[in-house]
Amino acid sequence: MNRFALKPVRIGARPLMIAALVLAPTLALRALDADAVLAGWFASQTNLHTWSAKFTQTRTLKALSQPLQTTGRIWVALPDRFRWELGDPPQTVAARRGDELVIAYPRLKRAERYSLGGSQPKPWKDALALLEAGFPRSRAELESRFRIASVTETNATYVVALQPRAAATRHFLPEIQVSLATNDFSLLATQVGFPDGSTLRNDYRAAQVNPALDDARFAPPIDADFKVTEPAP
Amino acid sequence: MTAPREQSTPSRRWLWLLLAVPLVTGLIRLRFDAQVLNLLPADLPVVRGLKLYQEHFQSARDLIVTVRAADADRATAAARALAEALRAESNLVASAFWQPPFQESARETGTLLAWLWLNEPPERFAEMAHRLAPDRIGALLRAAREDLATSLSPEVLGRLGYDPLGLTHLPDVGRGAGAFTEGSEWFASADGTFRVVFVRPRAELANYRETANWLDAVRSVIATWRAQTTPDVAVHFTGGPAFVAEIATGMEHDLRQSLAGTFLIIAALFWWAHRRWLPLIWLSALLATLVVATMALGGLVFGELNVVSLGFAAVLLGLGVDYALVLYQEARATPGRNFAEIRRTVAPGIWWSALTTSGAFFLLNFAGLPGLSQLGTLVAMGVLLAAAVMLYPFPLVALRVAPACDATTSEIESPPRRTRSRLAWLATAVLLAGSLIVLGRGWPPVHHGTEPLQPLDSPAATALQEMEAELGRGNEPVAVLVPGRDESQVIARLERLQADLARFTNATFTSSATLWPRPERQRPNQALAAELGNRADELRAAVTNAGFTPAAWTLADAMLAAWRDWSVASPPFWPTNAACRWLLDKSIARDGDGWLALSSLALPSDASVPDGLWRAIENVGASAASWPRLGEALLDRVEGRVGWLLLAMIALLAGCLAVAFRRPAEVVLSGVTLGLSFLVLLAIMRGAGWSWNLMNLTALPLMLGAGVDYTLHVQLALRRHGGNPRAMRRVTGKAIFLCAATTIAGFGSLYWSGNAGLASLGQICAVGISCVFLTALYLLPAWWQAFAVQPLVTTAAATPDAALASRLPLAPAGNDASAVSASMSQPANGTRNGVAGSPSKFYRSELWRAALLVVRVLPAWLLAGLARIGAAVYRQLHRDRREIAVENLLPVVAGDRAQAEHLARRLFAQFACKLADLWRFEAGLDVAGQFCELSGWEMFETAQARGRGVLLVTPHLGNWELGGPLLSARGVRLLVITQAEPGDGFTELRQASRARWGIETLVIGRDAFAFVEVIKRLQEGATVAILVDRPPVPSGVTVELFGRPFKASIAAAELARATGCAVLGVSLPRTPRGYAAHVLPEFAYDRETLGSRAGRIAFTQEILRAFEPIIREHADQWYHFVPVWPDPQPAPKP
Repeated sequence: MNRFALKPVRIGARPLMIAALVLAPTLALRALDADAVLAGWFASQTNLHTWSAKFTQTRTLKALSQPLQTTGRIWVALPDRFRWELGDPPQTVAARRGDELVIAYPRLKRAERYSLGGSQPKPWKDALALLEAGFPRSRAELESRFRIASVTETNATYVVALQPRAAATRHFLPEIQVSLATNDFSLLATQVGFPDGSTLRNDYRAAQVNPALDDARFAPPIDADFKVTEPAP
Repeated sequence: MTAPREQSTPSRRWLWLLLAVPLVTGLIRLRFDAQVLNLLPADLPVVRGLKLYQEHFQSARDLIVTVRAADADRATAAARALAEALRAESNLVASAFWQPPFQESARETGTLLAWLWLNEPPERFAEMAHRLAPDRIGALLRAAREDLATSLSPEVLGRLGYDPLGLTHLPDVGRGAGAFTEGSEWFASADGTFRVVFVRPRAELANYRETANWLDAVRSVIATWRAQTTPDVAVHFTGGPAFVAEIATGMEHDLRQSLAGTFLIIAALFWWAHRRWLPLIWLSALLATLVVATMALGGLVFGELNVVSLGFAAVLLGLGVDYALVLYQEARATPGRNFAEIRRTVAPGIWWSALTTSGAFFLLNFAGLPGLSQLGTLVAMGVLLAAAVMLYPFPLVALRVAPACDATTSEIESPPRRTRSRLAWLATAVLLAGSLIVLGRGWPPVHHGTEPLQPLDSPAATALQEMEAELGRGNEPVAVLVPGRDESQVIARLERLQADLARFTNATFTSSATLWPRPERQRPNQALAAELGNRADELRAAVTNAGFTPAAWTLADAMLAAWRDWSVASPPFWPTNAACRWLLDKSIARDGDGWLALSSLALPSDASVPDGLWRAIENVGASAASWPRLGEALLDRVEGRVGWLLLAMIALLAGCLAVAFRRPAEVVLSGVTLGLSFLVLLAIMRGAGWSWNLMNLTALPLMLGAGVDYTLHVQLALRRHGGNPRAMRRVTGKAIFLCAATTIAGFGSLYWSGNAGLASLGQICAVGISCVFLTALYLLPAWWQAFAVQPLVTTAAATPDAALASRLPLAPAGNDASAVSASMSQPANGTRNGVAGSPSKFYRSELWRAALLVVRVLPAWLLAGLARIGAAVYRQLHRDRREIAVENLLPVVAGDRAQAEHLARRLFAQFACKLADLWRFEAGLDVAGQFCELSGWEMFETAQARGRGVLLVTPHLGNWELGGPLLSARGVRLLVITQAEPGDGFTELRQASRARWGIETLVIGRDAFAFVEVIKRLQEGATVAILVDRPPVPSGVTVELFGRPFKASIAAAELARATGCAVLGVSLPRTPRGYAAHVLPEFAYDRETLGSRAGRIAFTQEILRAFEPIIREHADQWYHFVPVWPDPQPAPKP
């Protein structure tokens, strides 16, 4: 850390937010009491290999007098591939395949490429953990990264509140709420709360379990005229 | 001794008062400096850089309070609460930040951003203003809303939410507002359990005392806070104020502890040696005065003393007390002498020692470290001052109560076993071999780090290390400091430096140029900025209409307000709010009338520094501050100079020793002693795992300077004691022990110094001087006996002991001894021949012992015959010695050389017979039958009956030793005065031989109290015998003998004056029938007449005149084989 001069751009925070935005929809849990909800959710995940859905994203920001709503789509192939499109036509596309994560802005013809391999700073690892936690295989695995703050039921919906265990992650994402259908533990919505009180909510619809997904869908959507940068994670 | 010995004259007192003027001036000027870097050479660029960095940037102004809790939430809460508690103390604290200040104040952030925009190139500023034009503002805000709706970037979300106008996007800075508005890594560890609070004092802390008081107040506030909230957190302190307070108070503590410890040890040793309170109190007072006076001199010379160099005080005490011990011992040894005499006796030795030691310490000025130079100069001045103080005020106050020493009954002691010498040689071999074996595994390493400059136990340093580890600052970049007389020069240098360093591909330079005001840009931007500021209402309305809340406007509002405010300012101008100051203080500082910019240079940890990098930095007038580089640079300088320093020291000491000894063998032995001691020290260092460092390297000259005195004192004492190591150790050894112990205590006390370098310096010096002391005292005597085989009773007052011994007005009676050994006593009449100053090599204990064995088995006639043959052979082989004998006899025979030569031949033959009889006597064989005549016995009885003691005086004539058994046979116990014999055990051998006959021996020269003992014994009525015709120089006076000037001993006259004893002349010539013993009529005298020196010389003349006919009659038995006539007549041609 350079203590003599100006601090460099805090690009390290960016992946955290990206991960939160991407992963929050996938953190679906279900059950009435915590153990039963989690057990049911883990059971529903057992045969989950791919998943896709449409969503409406609502951003309630302190700086805006009215919330902003955007529609989009998401595709997930476990264990380490996903594609996220926000806007119609897509304004922002995030795609991960293996150790490579690409964020593209088609309207701006700009893309950012992140390498997930090698030793990464701890906050970045924690951000990746959100992805893995989106499709947890066991309660132990989930709780190694998140503290389960509460499990509640409202209007035929289970709401599981999670807090990142890593302080650096928690600094940016104090809480993630996952809403699950009470009948089949299907993912209904996710909501991320930010430190200033702003929220980002995704409401899912038309979800498909184990759809056939072409690997090319997870390829970075970069055209030749895009300006690609590789910021530090 | 209780009577005053001397009164100081008023004029001298005035002289002493004059000294008060510079001392008071010095004390007024005296200031203390706690900055450790000031100990280092200021001309080294790395030192200059580090000093600037520490002074201006390394949290020099901020106290850093670290907070650690079990989890992040508690740490956050505690840090926040702590900062609030400190902020509440507004008289104490100006600011307390527990998180980046910009997170607490968007308006202050706005001010900073507004200022940064003004430093942008005018065209860029115009671009920004163009984006805010009335016809474009709507599109700008719509794009911002779209980005907020679709961006995945937290930076975009965070920035646009509070900056929909995009004012935080500074192109020249090349980074977003996050560069300035975040900075959380300055305040919290990655896991959040460790947090930092930056606390700035309300008032400027002018000195370390104020700093310590302020820190105490802060600690008190925090203690109260902890007591009220009982948070489960650990709190530590670091940063500039913590370091200053810690170093300064630590040094004060060290100084007190070191001084107190040294004082106690000195007092204990003095009490152990002398058991007198008043001198001890005076000594302590004078030592305290000495320290204060030296500090005053330091103030006069330096003005400001670094607290590290105050360690001089303990060293000075250890060295300065030596002079007092020498003086005090001298006073005890010579009761009856006045202050002036005592001072004259010891002053040369003390001044010589002080000059040598002072010179050694002064040479530290060339060590290349200003701190050590200061310490060396202080000790050098202090040692000279100590010599003056101990030579002048100390005797006046302390010696009035110095008691006389006890008598020297211990001199009559069992002879030392030769095994002691063998043990010394064995120890030498073991030490040498052991040291070489240990050192065969490697030399003590040289530590290249800068730890010696750091405190040993520093909570502030520990807290700083913890903070750097927790905040991920392990790979510390090099700080690059760029000075300039004004803002324009600084920015020009920064840009040039950035361009110059671009060619070093593995070094990453991060310039702080973006934080520098650029007047040439501020000026043209001012108008446009003012225009924007005046559109604030219009812009606010646009933002609100675009759906943004007031929260999104706060930053822009602050920026527009700042632009309005600066529209009338004169460039260059700076932002002044607390948050801006917090940020700018980390890279900008005022340095006197100029400015200082801090940038950084990151180097790969595993790569060497590129060639020319430092030069490139220095070429633009900048300095690089790097602790690792400092260690290397300093060691390079010190290592390079220590060699020269040692050479200079060795040359200085060799010169001093050569002047003092005047014998190359002894100079070499001193060198060998120091060499072996150094070797042992190296082995100890290697064994103990110690290493050399840039501070303790200078222990080498210190050890040499302080240790060489011991080799000098020991060898001079060995001369005085005829090479008897036990006698040397009993008298001189005790004094050396006291001196060494106090010096070791002085240096050793530094071991507890809070400064690692000073502690290691004290440690090495204490061990090294111990090695020198033990080697000199226990091994050097054996070497001396083997190689410096010509013991001389020195006539120079090279040391106090020597001077004392030489002043004793006694001529030995027992040590006739053999004229062959006559050179044992350097003749008063000088030397005319090369052999005169050297004793015969046959006069040694081994041969003497052999002779004592032989005489027990050989018949007397055979022995006499063999002795005559031996003498004839010796005479033929030693023409020089024969010539001396002839010349000695010439005045006796009125210059008749033929007769003189005839007498000389007989002299050798007679001496052979005398030796044979002497051996028989010393072997315990019966000698009573050898006497054939005794005359004048009744005169002896008459004199003895008076009970005032009888002093028997005799020339070196006949076999005077045989008078002892003659007296013993008549119930008279004789006390024989003698000098030490050469070699180990010889003196004791002959003492034992006489003791068999009831004859007591008193060795003079060995013991300074012999004079007292002789007087005492005479006053008790004893019979004492002395020789009168070959005195040591100090007791020789010129009288007339055979019409020629002749040096005779004034001892008889002195003793007569002191005691009123009867003085009787005796002679024991050998006749054809045997030995004759003649008692001459008593020499009458008037004690009052003897009160004058002229009277005593006249009395001595009377004694010699009485012996003239006896010597003429028995000229062939007047045994002198060294020249006795100071002004010989030219030898007539045969």
